Amino acid sequence: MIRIHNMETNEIIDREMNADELKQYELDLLESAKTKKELAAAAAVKEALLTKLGITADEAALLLS
Amino acid sequence: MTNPTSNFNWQMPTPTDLVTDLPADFEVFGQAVDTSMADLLGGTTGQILAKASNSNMDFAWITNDVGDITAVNVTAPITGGGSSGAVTIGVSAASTAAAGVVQLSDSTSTTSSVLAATPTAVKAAYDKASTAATTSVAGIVQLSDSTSTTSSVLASTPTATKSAYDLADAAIPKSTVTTAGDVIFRNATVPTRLGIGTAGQVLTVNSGATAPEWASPITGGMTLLSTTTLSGASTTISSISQSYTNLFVQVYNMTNATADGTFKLDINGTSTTIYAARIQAGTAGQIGAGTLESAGTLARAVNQNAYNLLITNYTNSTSNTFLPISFMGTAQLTSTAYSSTMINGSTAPGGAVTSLKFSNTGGDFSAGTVLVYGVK
Repeated sequence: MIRIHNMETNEIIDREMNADELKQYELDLLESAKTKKELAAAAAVKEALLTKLGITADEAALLLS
Repeated sequence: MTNPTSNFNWQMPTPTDLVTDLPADFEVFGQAVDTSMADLLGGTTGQILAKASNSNMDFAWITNDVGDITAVNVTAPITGGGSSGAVTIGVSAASTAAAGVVQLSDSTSTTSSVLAATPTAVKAAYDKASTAATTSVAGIVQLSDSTSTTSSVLASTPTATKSAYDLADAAIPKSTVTTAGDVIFRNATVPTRLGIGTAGQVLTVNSGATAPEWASPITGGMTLLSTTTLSGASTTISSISQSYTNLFVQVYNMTNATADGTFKLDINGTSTTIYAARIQAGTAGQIGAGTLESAGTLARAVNQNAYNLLITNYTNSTSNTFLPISFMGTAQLTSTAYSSTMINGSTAPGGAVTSLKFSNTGGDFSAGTVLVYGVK
């Protein structure tokens, strides 16, 4: 379902997505899930490295400053 | 003896009466004469007899007023008179200049100056004068000082009239205004007219701060064009008014129905290229294309977020024209983390900006408000 608000007529239409819109929507969801997964993986790698080094994230930031 | 005298009806003996009856008859006769003459007794020297009543032989002795009338002299209104022979006197008619006899009149309508009104006429006039006045009948009226009564039977006193006059005298004359739309103000001394201005003008104070005047309004400011509640997988605001110079958009209190996600804002759909510098979550960089996005994924059920978008000269329809934009805001990502976004640059929408599309990569909006303002 998507919403379209025509400012000129002030008409608000709620309708189902057409095929193209639905396809784009599903792609966005996949992309979002992928991004989240990548961010989670990167965070896990970062956490593992910090554990290996025996320092915290703040200490790592201090070293890089 | 039944023989009365011719005038006094005294009884006398008849010729055939017996002589023996004469003494008695003479006694009756004599006594009757004596009775008839009784009023002639008495009197004093100089008195004369006068009739005491209309009855026969009823007299009384009275004083004789001795004297001779030698002339009858008259003064107005008595007329006539004389000193010899038969004397005739009269009374002249009355006028407004002289006393005299008058003729009475019952009339209440005559205008005569020589007639005298009768009680009948006077009463008619009195009754007429005693009648209370109304708006249809003349009559007596009660005076009133009131300036607020609505009575139709009272008469105003000079006091009331003066009060009304004073108010009217202090009022602004109707003639001060002459044309539709005129307004009244006071100049240095008196109320005066200010003619209507032209269409669209507003009333303001002149440069000397001494009087009002019509002037064209100062243009500018923001006008709220629309209020939209976010809903569904995306919400698009279309047919944006082209009557302003700049477009200012506020988006706030968004929540998502399904999952955390990135807030996205597309100008004229999804194909618009944006060249901008981005500062988000403590990092800086450039974006070369695509969509305006929030930094990080917004917590799905938390509405602590707000973003502003400013597009300058958004009605420019020339192709490949870059329109300056500024997109910034902050959102809560988790219960403790927040993310700020600041994107400044330009966009080339390929024409005037006519629509804005809002979406969230987490799924459908469940709440959120968009305010679109036009800026002159």
